[in-house]
Amino acid sequence: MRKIWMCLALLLGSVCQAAPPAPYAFGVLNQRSLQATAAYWNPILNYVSARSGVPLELNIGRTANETTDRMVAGKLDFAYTNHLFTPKRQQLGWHVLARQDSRGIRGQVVVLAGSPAGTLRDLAGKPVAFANPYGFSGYYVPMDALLRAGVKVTPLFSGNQEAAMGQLESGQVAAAGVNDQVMADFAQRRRLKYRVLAESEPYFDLAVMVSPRVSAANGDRVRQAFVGMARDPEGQRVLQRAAQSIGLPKARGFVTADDHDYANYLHFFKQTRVPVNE
Amino acid sequence: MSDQQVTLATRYSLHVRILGAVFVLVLVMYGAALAVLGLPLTARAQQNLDAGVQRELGAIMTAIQDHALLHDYPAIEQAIQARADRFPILNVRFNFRRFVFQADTTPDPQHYPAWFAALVNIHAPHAQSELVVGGTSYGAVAVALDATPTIQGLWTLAVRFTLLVIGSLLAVMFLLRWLLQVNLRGLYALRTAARAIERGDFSARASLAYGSPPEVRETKLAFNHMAEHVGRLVAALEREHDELLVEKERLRVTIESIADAVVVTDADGRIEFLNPKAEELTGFSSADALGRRVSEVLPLVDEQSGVPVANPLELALRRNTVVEPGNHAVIRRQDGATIAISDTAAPIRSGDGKVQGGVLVFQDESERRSLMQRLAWQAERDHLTGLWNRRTMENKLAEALRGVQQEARHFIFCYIDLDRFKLVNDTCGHRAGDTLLQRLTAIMARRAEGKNHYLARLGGDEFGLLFADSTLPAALDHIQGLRDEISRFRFEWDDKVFRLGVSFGVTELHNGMTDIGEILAQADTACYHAKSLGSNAIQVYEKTHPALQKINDEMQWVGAITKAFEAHRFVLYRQQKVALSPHNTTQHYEILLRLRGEDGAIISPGEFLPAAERYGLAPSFDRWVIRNFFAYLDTHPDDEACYALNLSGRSLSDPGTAEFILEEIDQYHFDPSRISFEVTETAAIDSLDACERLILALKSRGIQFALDDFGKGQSSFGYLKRLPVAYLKIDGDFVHGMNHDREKLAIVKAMHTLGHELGKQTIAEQVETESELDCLKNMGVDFVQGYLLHRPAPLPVD
Repeated sequence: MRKIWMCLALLLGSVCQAAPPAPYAFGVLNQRSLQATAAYWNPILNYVSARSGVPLELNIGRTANETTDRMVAGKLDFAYTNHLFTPKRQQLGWHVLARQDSRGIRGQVVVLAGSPAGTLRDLAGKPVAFANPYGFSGYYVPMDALLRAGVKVTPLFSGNQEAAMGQLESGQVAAAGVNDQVMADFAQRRRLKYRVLAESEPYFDLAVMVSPRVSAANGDRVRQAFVGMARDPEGQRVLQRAAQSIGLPKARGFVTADDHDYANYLHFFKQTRVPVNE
Repeated sequence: MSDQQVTLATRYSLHVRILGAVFVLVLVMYGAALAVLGLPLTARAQQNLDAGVQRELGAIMTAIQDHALLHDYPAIEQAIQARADRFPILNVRFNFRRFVFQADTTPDPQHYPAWFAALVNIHAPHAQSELVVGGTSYGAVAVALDATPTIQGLWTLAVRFTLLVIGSLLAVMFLLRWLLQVNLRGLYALRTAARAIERGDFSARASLAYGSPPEVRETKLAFNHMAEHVGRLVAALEREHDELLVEKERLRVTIESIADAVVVTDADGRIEFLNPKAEELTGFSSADALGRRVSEVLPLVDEQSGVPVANPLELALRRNTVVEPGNHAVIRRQDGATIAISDTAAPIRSGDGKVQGGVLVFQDESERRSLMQRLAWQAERDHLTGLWNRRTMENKLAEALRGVQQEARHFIFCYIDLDRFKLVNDTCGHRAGDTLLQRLTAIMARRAEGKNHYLARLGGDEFGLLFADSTLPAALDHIQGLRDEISRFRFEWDDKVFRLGVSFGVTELHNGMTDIGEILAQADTACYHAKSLGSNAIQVYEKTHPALQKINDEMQWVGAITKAFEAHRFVLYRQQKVALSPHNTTQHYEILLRLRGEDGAIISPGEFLPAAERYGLAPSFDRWVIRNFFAYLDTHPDDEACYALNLSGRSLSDPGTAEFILEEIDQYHFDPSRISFEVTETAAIDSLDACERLILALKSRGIQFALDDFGKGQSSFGYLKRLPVAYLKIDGDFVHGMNHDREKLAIVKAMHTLGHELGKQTIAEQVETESELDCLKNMGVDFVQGYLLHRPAPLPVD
């Protein structure tokens, strides 16, 4: 009898040990294709999960808008985005944990090097590609520059920024509204020569944010893990592999950031002439 | 090669062989093509399937990748199902954690046999992979493809290929069969012609069918030429065969009917055939002799010694050459009889010279050898007396001369001449003479027997006795004994008793003698002198003896006469015979012969004629005179005188003299009746029969004869009756001095009277005085001749 009880105890123990904790959904704003996004972020999230002990699982929507909708709908716990700085979404309570160690992003209106357009006015009435109507540097900032320049163009939304750049490269559009870093990476990879007709002030790139329903401790562990990657050889290798998977010339680590680092976003949305889709 | 293999190798026709070979070849080629192309094709099909499943897996992974990243499982199901429906996918399974989805499709129905699937051994490919993005698994996908369409495709290909093979094969077979029919048509015609020839129809020829290739046409032409040639050969062979049969039959009949015995053996000397003559001589029948050795059937021994001799046929077989042994063998038959034979053995060779057998031909030589012995005896012996004949003696003398010259042996030769033998012949006839000779020579032979003495009959009553290895005294002693015995010999015949005298001429052979003529001459000279000494004398030849030297001088004339003939130094003279009758106006002459010496002096015939007579040259003189005088007559038609020519005794006895004279006369155109011949009484009587025949033969052409020196001989007048002469020429010895010698006058008168009584005219010769002439005129002699009337003078030549 005693043996039977012991066997049952072991069985139950093993069952309890085998059940893994439910992972946090980590949403990533669709800047690239789903494959590239997953290829880049899955190694990082696996590393951070292992280092922080907080299980993270990539959860992205088909488009950036859908991903943002999931954030707004509360289906996600962590996110790498800059769509939550609009006035209405700021009220959802998400906080910045970290950001990529980059010089910041700028919104640009670019044309091909051989394009006859020399100024924004030359684009008047012409089709201009944008990632989606929710993108900050890929739509709001360049469209805001066009509107402030008094130029009305025909916006074409390609779904993501590289798609918009692809349309520019193929000549389907006269110009494209792009993130300067994404554009530079794209042009380098595709050996594409282009000219910048308008460029915004710098903004920090997307931020690693945490939902208010995640404990602060977990959020902090996740922040530490992100920030520690650049100092950890294993983390460096993960970053390098992630960068290579999408063709980036060098890996970018993460640094600690908070809501103040993204105050210019709030400011932009307050004075922009572009209608904000929330 | 076994019989079965040979049967298999010859069973199938060329048609079948070529078609079969091409059929197998095409099949092998197609098989090889199938192996070369089909196996890689199958492997490639399997590779395509394997690649296809990987492709499908990749496609499904791509199709569901975004859905998996979005965890959009319905979309995954939809994408997988859509893919499975469009492509030959057997099933697809996706599972991620607790979500599992499997899409199964119904495989295509199989339209190929199961064995084909087993043969190609293509299996349905499976592939599975895990969908990992950035090191994170989004599920696993497993795909299995349906191999049925691939196998079906291969089956269709195989069916088409097989149909192509069958079609190609049938086309090739039909084409090849047509080609063979066209091209072998000539060959079949060739076969038909060859079989006809095989059946004996040598006129058969291969027809030159249209469409035959050049090789077959050339072969047929060559065959037809060959058939024509063979036909001719066969015809020739048949002719030769028929001829051979005839020849064989002729040979068989010949061999069986010839007088020669023929024995045929095989190469080992075993008898295969005896002809009837051989059966008769050997005493074996052909059947009994068959298979026996030739030496057994034909045991030969030497005729003289009786020692067995090797059989010539066995020698011929052993030496592979013709053997002709000397004729000294006799057969010693089983019954003990011996038969002398002469034989010839020869091997029978094949074309390559190999001995196939032998043939022995032999004859019964008994009679021939006996005849030969008789002939040999007759050749050496005198048939009347049985002594050696002259030729044998000459041979023995030649042998003796060599013995003297080379071995210093001593030989004595004695010439024996009987005296008065002619008297027996004349009075008692030849039979008596022959009997006398037989008895006398028997006595002589008995004395010479076994003493190394050789006695030969050299002529009618002349004999030679050769003493071998004897001294002259011993020989003379023997000769004296022989003389005494002959002198005591009495021959009685018809109550008459005859005594014979004998003369011996002896000479000793020495190495200075050059030939047997010299021996005979010396002995003859000595004998001649002995005869002159009287009966029963023995004279040994001595070179310095005066009488013998004279005789020798005569012999010297022989050489001089020969040289004179060659130098044409004989000349013709004539001396007139004067007719005492005033009515006879025709001039008559006697042709005389003179010799002009080397110095030009005329030599009378008294000096050389005796030698010529003695040594047998007189006939040559006679013919020379006849030939030259006849030519004279022919070239001097104005000379119408009658001429008398002398004939020697030798010419009288020569049976060819008459023919010679007639032939000479026929060459010219003078009247033969102007010619007459004078023959001495002695010569005429010595050759009475021959003389009578000669006179009769020439008398038919008008030629007359005169009996010269009539009365000089001691013959009886009885001969006058047999000799049909026209003239009697009274010997000059009786005429000379008849005017004062009453006996001579009486004899001349008696001879003249006798002549006239017998119807013959008389001629008196050597008339040298008027007194003699007057006597003759008074007596009534018809012709006179002598120096008183006319001295001999050369024949007038223009």
